[in-house]
Amino acid sequence: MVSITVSKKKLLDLVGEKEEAVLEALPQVKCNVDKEEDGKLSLEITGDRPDLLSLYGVVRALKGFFGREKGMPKAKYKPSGVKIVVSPEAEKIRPVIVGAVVENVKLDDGEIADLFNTQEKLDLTNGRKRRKVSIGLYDMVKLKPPFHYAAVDGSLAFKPLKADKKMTVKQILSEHETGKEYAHLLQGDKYPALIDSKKEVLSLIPIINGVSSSVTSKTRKMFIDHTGTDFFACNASLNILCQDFADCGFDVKTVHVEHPHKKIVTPDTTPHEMTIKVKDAARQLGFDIDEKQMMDCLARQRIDAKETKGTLACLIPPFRPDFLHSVDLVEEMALGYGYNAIKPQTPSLFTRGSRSDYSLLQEQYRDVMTGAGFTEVMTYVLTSKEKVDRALSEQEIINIKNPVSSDYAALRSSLLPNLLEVLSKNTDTYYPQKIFEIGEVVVKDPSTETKTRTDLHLCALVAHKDASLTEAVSLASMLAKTVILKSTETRQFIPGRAASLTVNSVEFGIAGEIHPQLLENYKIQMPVAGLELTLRTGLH
Amino acid sequence: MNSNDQAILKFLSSSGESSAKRVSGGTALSYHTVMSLLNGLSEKLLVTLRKESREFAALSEEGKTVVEKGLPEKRLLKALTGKPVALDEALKNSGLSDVEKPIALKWVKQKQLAKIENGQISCLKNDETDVEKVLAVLKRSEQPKASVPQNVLTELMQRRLVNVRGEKEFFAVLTLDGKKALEEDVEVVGQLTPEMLKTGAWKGKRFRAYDANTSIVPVQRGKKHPYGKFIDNIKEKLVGMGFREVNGPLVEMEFWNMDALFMAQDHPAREIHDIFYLDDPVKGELLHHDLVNDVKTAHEKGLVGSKGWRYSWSEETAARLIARSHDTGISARELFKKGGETDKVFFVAHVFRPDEIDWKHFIEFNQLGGYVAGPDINFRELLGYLKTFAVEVFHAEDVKFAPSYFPFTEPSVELYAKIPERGWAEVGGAGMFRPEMLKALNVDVPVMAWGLGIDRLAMLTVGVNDIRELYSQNLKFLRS
Repeated sequence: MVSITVSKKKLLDLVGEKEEAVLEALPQVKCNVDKEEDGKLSLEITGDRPDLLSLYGVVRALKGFFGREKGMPKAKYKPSGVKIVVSPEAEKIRPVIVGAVVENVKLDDGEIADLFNTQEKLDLTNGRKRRKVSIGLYDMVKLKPPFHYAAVDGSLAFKPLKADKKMTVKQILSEHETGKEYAHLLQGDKYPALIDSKKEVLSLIPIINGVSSSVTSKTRKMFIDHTGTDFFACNASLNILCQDFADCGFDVKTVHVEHPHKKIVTPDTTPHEMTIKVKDAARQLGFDIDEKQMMDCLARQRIDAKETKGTLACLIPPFRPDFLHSVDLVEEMALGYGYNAIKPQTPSLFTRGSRSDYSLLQEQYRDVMTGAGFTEVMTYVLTSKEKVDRALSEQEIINIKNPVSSDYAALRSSLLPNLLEVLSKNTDTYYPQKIFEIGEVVVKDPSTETKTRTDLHLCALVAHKDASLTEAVSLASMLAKTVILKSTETRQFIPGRAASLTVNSVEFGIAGEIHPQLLENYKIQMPVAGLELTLRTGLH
Repeated sequence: MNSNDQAILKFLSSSGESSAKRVSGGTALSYHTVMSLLNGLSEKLLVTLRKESREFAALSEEGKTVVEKGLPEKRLLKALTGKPVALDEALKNSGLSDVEKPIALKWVKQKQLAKIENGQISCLKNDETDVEKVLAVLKRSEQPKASVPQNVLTELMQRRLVNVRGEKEFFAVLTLDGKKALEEDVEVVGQLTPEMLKTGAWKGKRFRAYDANTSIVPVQRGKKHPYGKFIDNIKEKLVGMGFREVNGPLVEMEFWNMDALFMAQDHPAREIHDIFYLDDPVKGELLHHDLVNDVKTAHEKGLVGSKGWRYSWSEETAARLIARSHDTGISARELFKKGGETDKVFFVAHVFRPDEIDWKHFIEFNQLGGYVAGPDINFRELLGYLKTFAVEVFHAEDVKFAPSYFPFTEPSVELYAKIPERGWAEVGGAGMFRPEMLKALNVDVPVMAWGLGIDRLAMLTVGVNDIRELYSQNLKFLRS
């Protein structure tokens, strides 16, 4: 989810509908209203709709929703006469460049701020943090086309935005705030730059623009460039901005891009073609809808459609890069129809339900333990080295590389530390205390595809003045019919008062009396005995 | 009842509370015998025994001597008048021994009985002192310690003129049971024992009455965790709707958690939520080479007529190990296992997400998820299932749907439910799995999938206001 802010008044004025209707419609066009503050609406846009990252994008969608404007907006851009010449070296480094010119521009400071915001969000999402697409906006008043997209060396100097002096390319990449942030996108010792015919540097691509061409409220003629690695993404993003400007009432014009081996005109406004069979669409939707209704739904989503012999030929606007497969058309139809206008169908598929064996095993043991008078506790899977060390546990835990806090920085491999912690937090409530947990733990296992294994453990502790190994062993024999004991020693238990538990010659647990040093660590002033068993290794 | 016991009970019945000494005297039984029998009767609750400790003060040997001769300081004063006399003279005339002289001087000074100045001594007062009074009484006989003023006793003990002797005496009185036993001439027993049953010794005995005022200690019963019960309940509901439960591992590879779900590795939507990466081990092993290739193709070029994501897919990234961040990876695994079978599957999965921790967010939580695969599954039926879940699981009074986006579903939808006591709340997301995903997994039927958050509902059901309290470690709460 990406969020943008739009002025509520402007939105309502442009859409031409009542506030209540608009606020209810917004989520239906994939714009969730997060909050309203000082007449500004904060909208959360879903990740598949870069065309909605501006006021005009939202308006475009709402106009379709309300039926005020249906079908694909007709973008007819005349040529501007501006040319971009692409050098083979630049093409090798960052192969795609497209551009457009916008005339009769009139933007106030607020609108400029919104424009930069949209540019930033597009760079971030559709542009994949500028790697795939990066956007440049320039005031043309001081610039002289044709523009040269060339590879320059690190010594080229110009005054970039957010700096107070000329800097060389190398300096920008190592000292400038934005330079440092995006330097990783450029490798090698030649850098792509956009320069005009007077050797004025428009931009170090895709890093930062020159200050001489910065867009302000005085700008009347704007040049837009998109550079990147993916033509489709760049062209789509350019079309998004151009459509927004066209909706504003500005004059959008095309630009010639001269590559070494091809010449193209951008933005390429050719709609994306996609077909779907009416029957298929209806089947996927699951409700009664004929082709006329389908075409109307699509029209409300600003998509043109024509039906021929049971197949819909659809034209997707060039500012919608999110269509991968005909299922995307099905969603558009459902959106145009209105999700809440669809009558949900009562499920009718008859199947037999069942609990998984794994889950039933847990239930079984839970019943046995509660039958024996134990109180169930549930503790977190995330734990920490401190917690595990405090319990003198010798079991290896799996650490998280990026924890949010040191208390939750590893995955537990045993339950005993957690249960000791529970006892330590309850020294003021009556004894005897008998607690248990059945839960999942994670251990390393090089033989699996995830190099780990999720095991199911049962841990039970009794705290009362007569807590003993005998009781723990009795408990073990209640849980597993034929248990063989073998004296064992770990730091957690009193030496000589612990036993490993084996069933069918597989060691599956340990029982014993908790070492008084450990009880002291936890400030538990009551003897504690207990056990921890592995009920299942792996999930099956 | 044996005759001695009877004799004692009889004596107590007529004399009321008596000391063991008196009982001994009254029954002609030795003190020892009486004490032993009284203890037995007390255990059978036929008599109540009370112990009294008393202390007596008596003259020591030295005290007896002093009482005859008089206190040293008094003997010194005898020879004096109001007029000062040479101290040496006075001492010589007093008749005190060398040992007694310093004692006399000490006490004369301490009690200010005489004035000693420039080697001369004159009498100040010579009345009978408290100490003398007490000594006179003690001369006749020992006295209870309590009857002697504390300060006098302290001095007398300090001067080793008096010893204190402690004495215990037992007092017995008949209980109601004892009276009854005497009347009925029957022994009262407390608890029936296996011995009594074996020997028949219970015959002719009475059992002690139960005291209805005894405080009742409740039986400690085992108890399931309320959050665990809540999850149980939900599972039962899903089973009741014909869903079969499956489980998945807590640690997953990015492959199953994201790549197999057609989530592009470079798409910001891959960050629809943040993810915990494992530190060690770091990478898993991708098995199923055909599947991996299909997924790679789906991402890079597209499958089934899709354009795909058109970027370079990395097997290394896909093999990275994470703590699973949502439950949808379980669906991918199960679909791959089952192919295109008609199936209704559900799971309650523990998932992990780095997030801000507050009253309604924690970094590990449970999701209820699942899918329905079948040739006739469509979007409208998906909405039907969602509405059913909202009503059955969340007790919703009403439902609303809104558009949404997930890289692995299209159409995608968000479910809102009007929950009693909570109002409208977003409950989860759902959609139809994308064909690119299904094709790579070899599934050739439509599949609908959903994931619902149940912890907020759990909070309501369990009755806590903070999500962390679902894992409460408070035994009082858990045992209540």
